[in-house]
Amino acid sequence: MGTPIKDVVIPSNAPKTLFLQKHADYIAAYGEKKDDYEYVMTEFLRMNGMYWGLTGMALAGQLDRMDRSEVICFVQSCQHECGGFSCSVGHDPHLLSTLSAVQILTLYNALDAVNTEAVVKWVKSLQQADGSFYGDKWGEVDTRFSFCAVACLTLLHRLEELDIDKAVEFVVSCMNFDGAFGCRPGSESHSGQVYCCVGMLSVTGHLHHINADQLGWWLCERQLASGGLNGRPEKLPDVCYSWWVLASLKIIDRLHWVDKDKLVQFILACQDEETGGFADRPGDMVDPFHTLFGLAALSLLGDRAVKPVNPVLCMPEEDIRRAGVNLQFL
Amino acid sequence: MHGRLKVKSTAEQQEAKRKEREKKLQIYNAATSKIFSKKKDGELDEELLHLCGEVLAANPDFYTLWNYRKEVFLELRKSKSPTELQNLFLAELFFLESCLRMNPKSYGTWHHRCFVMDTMPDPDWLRELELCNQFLKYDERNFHCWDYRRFIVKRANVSPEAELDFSMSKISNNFSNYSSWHYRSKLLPLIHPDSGQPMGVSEDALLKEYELVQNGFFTDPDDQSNWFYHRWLMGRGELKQAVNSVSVFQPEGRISVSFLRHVQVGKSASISLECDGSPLKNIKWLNHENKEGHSTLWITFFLFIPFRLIGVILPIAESWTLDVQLVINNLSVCSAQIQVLAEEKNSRKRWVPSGLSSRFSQEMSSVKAETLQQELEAITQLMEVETDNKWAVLTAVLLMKALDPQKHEAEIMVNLDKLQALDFKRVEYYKDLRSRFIVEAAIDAMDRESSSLATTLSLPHRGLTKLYHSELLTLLTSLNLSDNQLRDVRQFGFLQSLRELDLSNNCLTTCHGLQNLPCLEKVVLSNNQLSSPESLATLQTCPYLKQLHLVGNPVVEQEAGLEGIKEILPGVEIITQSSS
Ligand SMILES: [Zn+2]
Repeated sequence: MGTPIKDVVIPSNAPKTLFLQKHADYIAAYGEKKDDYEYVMTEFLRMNGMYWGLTGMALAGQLDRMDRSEVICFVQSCQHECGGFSCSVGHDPHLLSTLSAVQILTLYNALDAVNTEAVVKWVKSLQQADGSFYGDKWGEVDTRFSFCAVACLTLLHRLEELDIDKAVEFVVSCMNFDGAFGCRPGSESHSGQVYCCVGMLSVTGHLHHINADQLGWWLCERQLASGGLNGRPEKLPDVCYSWWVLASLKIIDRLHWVDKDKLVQFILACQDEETGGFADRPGDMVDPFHTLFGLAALSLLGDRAVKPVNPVLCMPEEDIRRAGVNLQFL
Repeated sequence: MHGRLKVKSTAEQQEAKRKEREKKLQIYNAATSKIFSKKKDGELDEELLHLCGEVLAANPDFYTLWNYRKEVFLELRKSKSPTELQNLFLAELFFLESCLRMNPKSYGTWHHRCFVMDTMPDPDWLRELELCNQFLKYDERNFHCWDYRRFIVKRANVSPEAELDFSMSKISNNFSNYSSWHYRSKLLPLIHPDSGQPMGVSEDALLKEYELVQNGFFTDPDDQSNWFYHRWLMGRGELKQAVNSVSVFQPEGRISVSFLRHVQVGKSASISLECDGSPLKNIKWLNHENKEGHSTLWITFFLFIPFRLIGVILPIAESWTLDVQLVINNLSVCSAQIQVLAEEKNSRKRWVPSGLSSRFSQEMSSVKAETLQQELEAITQLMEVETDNKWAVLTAVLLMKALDPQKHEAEIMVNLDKLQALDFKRVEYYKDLRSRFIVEAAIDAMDRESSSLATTLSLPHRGLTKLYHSELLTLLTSLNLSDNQLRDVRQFGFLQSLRELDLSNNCLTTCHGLQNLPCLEKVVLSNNQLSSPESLATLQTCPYLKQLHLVGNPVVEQEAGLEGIKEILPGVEIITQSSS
């Protein structure tokens, strides 16, 4: 007798081809309904949401459909005196929204629209003696914030402002018995956290701390019979993990360890043909978050309809190249 | 955004929902605008607390409002009596508990609870531990709650022993509990420390864990948790830093040193060289990619003085001794000595582990060896019942590899083939694992013939998909990897002594990786997928390349391709026809 393995069954009538145009239309329309219930209720995620939507559009090659000056104006209005960005006007600054803001400005090649000197100063101020980073002044520590901090500063070409050795030491102290990473020292491994830590080590050029075979094995064991990937053992598959697991595998040169065809099938089955967009699982409600990660994962899996994506920063490769950012890959 | 099923609804239902949402939206908008205006006016009072609470109850990820609550509490702390404060905080804990019941996975809520516990006058830590027990009963994998538990344990000084008992109770309730196994891996080194053991855990404690996890996979052989934990138990921990090899190329005055572990020479680490006791000075080191980043291979750098390349000036004596030492933060980490004879162009020395059957497995006590042997027998039994269980097959492979890779070589290969059939989704993982074992066996064989300092390696027709451990092959002068399934040569930059390389009949589309190989003279790339002159461009960085075999590659099928190559690699003989 055993515990049943959690997975989903892909319905036979699930989508099997990519509806790229519908996804672009879905994203474009999402930002238009500013009085919509969903839209208002997710204001605490606005900056991240805009990054998801704009990057999705950029990967679909349709960024020009979005209102560039409106976006930049919004981003500007979210910068605080301290230098950090909040997710929306009037909210508090946080590293999560600050990275999204810097990514959006990089997409638009418009970093000069804000006070980048202040961003650098603020991010720097969040680093602690043990190398970790607070998400904001209230002191929550998480390896996600370590990634946000170094990603921000590398996009601003100011990585040397941080104590990189200490920052790396902290991230490495979050490595577990399975070779994967958690939120803080002692925390259980989680694919989202793995992405942040592997990305952090790529940005800082310290990937040698990773045991790529051990971590790669844990990551490729995230693939279930349905073809989808879960975020931790004994969990359901989810499109967003397609991105976090795949991007991590790509950075450590182990992408071929998953069954690409089956994964593509799973991701395509999470599309909503009616509305456009991707859901976490087949038959669920779509949202911009899963739409971006669905598209980005398909790009990593070699779908030529989507622009090549950078696995560390989840932005079009061409923009990262233009920005002149150095990243390490195994 | 997770797990919300899309349901078809009638027009009537949709209209009802729309109306309901409109109402909710009005309340929400009224509340938030009141909150923001109060905050703007600096009214950090109990009314603000109440308003934020209403919004947070339904929207726990609205992080700014948790911040406002914190600000209110910090403000109230100035004016309220300790009893009043304590009661306010108790009410806050009650409120948080109801939020967590509705949404147990909100980062903001859990972090706010930490803030409250750290700020209230008289926190009851044990009650919090009980709360964790409750939440973990409801969802034993909630990592937020596990993290909160670790926070409480630290604050309340709960002993690791008590926590190990807790993890035991979770596991005996359900072996399929990755979170609990994970917790054990963190607690054991605290309770049974032993720095001499690979996991930092004493041997007898590890042996008990073997027993426990064996129960687990016999009860539930398809559950991953047990197998991942078991693989950890079999691990060999971190290698100690040591010099792996030293080469001295006399004509060029070049010295290369390879280490077992990565090091970044330059900052706090340096390599010191002494010739017959006198130090060689002003040497710049670069890694195998001609860069300064972390690497296992470091090479003395040629100083560029206009029109001339100057290496390290080496003695002209007939024989001399070179001492190599790695120093980190002024402490000697490891060292090696090599005897150099004047008539030898290239002197080299390779580190060989002593007293080990394989440098890729750990030293084992007889107790441990006996335990692993028993494990193998148990797994073999399990495989007889559960014939299609890939975890059992893989574990058998790993046990055999740990016990005696030479003795079990054939059986290991058979089982790796079986795994590829059993677990098709991960077929490439097993192929790479197989490739790794083949190279490890070859290096073990070279180690056994330590006296002869083997410089050639031949592994044709072995189904290799990847060249593992190239960092240990820095002294090879000839390498034959023909008729394999290699897709890239990215790790080949370590092969610093290589003169001849046979890669015919593989699946290469690029030579990226064959970079800065200072001795390379002949490369056979016949019958690969090289399709453009650019795919060969990196060979420009190999100064002594004389001959390149390209028979059977798309790039030489057109005249333009061949011309392009000749342009990129002038002076290199390009062979495009097989000599029959
Ligand atoms: Zn998801």
